[in-house]
Amino acid sequence: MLGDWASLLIYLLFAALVAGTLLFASVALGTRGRREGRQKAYSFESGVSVGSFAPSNFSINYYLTAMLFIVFDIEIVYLYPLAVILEPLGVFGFVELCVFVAVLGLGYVYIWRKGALEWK
Amino acid sequence: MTTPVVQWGALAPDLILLGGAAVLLLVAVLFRDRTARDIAMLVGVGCFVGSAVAVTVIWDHGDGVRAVLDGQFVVDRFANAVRVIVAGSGLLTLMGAYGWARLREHGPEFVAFLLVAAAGMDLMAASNSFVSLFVSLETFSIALYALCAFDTKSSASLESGLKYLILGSIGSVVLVYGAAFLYGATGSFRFDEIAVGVAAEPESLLALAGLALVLGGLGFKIAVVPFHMWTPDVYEGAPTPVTAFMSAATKAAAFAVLVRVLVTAVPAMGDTWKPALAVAAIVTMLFANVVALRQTNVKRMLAYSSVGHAGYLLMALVSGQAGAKALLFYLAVYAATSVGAFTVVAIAERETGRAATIDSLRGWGFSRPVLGGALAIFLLSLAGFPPTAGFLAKLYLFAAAIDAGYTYLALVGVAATVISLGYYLRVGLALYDRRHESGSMLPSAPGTAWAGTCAALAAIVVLWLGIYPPDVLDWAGQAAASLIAAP
Repeated sequence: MLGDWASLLIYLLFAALVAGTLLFASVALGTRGRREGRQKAYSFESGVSVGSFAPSNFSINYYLTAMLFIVFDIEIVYLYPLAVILEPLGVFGFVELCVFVAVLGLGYVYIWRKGALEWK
Repeated sequence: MTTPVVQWGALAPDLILLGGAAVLLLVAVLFRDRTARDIAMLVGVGCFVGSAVAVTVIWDHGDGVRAVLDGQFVVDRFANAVRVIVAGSGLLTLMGAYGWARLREHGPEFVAFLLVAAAGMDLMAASNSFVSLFVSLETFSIALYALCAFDTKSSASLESGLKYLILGSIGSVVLVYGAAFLYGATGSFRFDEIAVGVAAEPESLLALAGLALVLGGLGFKIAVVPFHMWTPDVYEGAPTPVTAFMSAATKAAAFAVLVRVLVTAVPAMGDTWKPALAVAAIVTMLFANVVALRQTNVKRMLAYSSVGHAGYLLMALVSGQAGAKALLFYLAVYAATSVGAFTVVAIAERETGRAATIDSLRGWGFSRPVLGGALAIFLLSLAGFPPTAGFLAKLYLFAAAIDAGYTYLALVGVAATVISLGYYLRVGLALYDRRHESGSMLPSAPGTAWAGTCAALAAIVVLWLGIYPPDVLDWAGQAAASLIAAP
């Protein structure tokens, strides 16, 4: 009866285990958790203070890094549909995969050598 | 599952361009400043020449028509002709841009963007489905947005890039929306399958809405009234070499795909789109040429002139095979003329350090005999004077329209041409204004030698096509015949 769904159940248990361990570890091992303060009352917004954010200047590096992340993130997502049909595609699919990754790598080398990954 | 078949030969002209762009990323990393720029220029010239040579090799393959990538693209002589026009515009643009200061820092990037844009245009001209059309449209559009904003130290350039990005995205969205409606009406994105679906139900309201939105979206790319609003601002603000490439190559690719959509996807709705395009042609020709009369900035004037030429070209879309032939010849002539004219404007800008206006060009033809003469030839060609190619291009276009029963369009075209003389000749007269003759020839500004060569070359092409056109006409005729059957 469990059959096909066993893997999903194991997956869910494993996800709960990972998340639970991390939560427990931060409570048990954290040293700053007990202190109360104004910052702690704010909602978490990727490390950027929400109070004074909107009208002020902020470093262009946030923007650049985020953009590069999104570009590479989306490119990597394209590998998933390819992975699903890679076997029937055979050598053709593998060569296509290599070309795709090579082009991606070329882009990576470019942004790396041009210093776009440095936090200036 | 069968392994996909890729027709490498038919795609070679575009793959050469894309491969060159990938190589240029490495060039940008490995070399610096002027060395990087010079290598990038060599790679760029090599890729454009290679692309054009590849076209001549595959010209006769499969009797000039090949379905590529499971029918997503159709590489026929029509698409190949557009590839040659795009490659030629790219070559002239590279030459014209060579001395531009900005390239000393970012030469490889500029050439890479240019190559990607050209590849996208080539693929769009060969698209046979709205999916491949949209992907290739975005490929070249995004490269062009970046190119418009390439001069990051100039706020005009950044403004131009941002405006083009926002308005261009709206144009793309309208196009996609239209494609979705056509899909809803016919169940396919492929042009040939849409044609079957539309023919089965030509009165479908869904297909009508789709057609209207697709025409709007593509009308934006070819810049016809009322979808032209972005053109003057973007053309004026963008770096002049980029404007040159945009005006020549984008127009060729967008008109090519518009013809393909109209004759292969929705021929059954001809009674709907022919009158619509005729009205758009009349409005565009008259409006753009009248507004251009009031411009004093030469780039802005040429932008309105480009809108006006899009109006003339709309005539070709309703004129069948002869129209397609005239369209290709006109696009080739316009590409040479437009890149040449913008390159001369770029040189004038570099010499004075500010925007070229009619006043700043007064007497310039005396101190710069070659460049002034070239600009005069381009202006005469745009206005349609013999013996320049612009005259023959208009002649074939108007003749095709009259043969197709659109005599009134040709008449409006002639009237619009007469109006356009008002501003083309104004610049021409300013160039040779005796009151501002300096009496001495100025030494040419540093770094404009290649741009000057580009202008001279473009002027020779314009005169050659105007005096001895049969080779190119024959080529355009073959290309048109591969897309549209003779009536």
